[in-house]
Amino acid sequence: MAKIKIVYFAGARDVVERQTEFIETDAKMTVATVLQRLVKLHPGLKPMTRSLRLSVNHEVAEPGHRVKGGDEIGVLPPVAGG
Amino acid sequence: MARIRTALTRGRINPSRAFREVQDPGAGGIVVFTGTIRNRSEFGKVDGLEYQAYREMAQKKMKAIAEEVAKKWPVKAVSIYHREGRLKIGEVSVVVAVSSAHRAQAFEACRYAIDRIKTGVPIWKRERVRRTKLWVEGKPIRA
Repeated sequence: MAKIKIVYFAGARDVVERQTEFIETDAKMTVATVLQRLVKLHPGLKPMTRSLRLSVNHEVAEPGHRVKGGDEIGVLPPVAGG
Repeated sequence: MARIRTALTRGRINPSRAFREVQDPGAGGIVVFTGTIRNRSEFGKVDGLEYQAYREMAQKKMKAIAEEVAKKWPVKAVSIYHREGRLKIGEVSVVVAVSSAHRAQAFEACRYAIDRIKTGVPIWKRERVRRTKLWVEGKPIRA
């Protein structure tokens, strides 16, 4: 089974209490299903799900985007740079 | 081709250096925007703050914004710097410097770049207010 790397930031990192983790992926996994998996693993993410965006290999990705082994997924709460 | 410089940095940002970098014999105007840490926010009196960045992606996005600006406006040079880590009140958090043949383009391009930085670069801000640390609620990142 292939794995994907998850990287958490800001409030999401505080909730899951880790910076990174690896999860198993299957052929049909999309950005939307990855997020569902993460919420199942870390129910604390649930209240912020609607405001979270996921990046795949450093690009913001649509929910339907296919995820494959070796991808790096960023879990990105609303940003506040500047 | 416009000259482009971007960096995410832990060290202090020097706006004068950004200004010098974008100086150009063909420029009739240079606009330098400097963002600084304010002592108040919606949470109250701010004692300091911390920027957390998704380093690789933030650097990539800052460069992409500078390139986009250079494509949209006939600019001579663009420099963008953003801090990460802990900052004190009054410190410079971001600098956007743009030079162009005419001032209108330099103003527009600079304004566009700072607005894009706020919505398109994965950087988060945590303020220290009354001894608690609070993530500033920003906007969902846009591609």
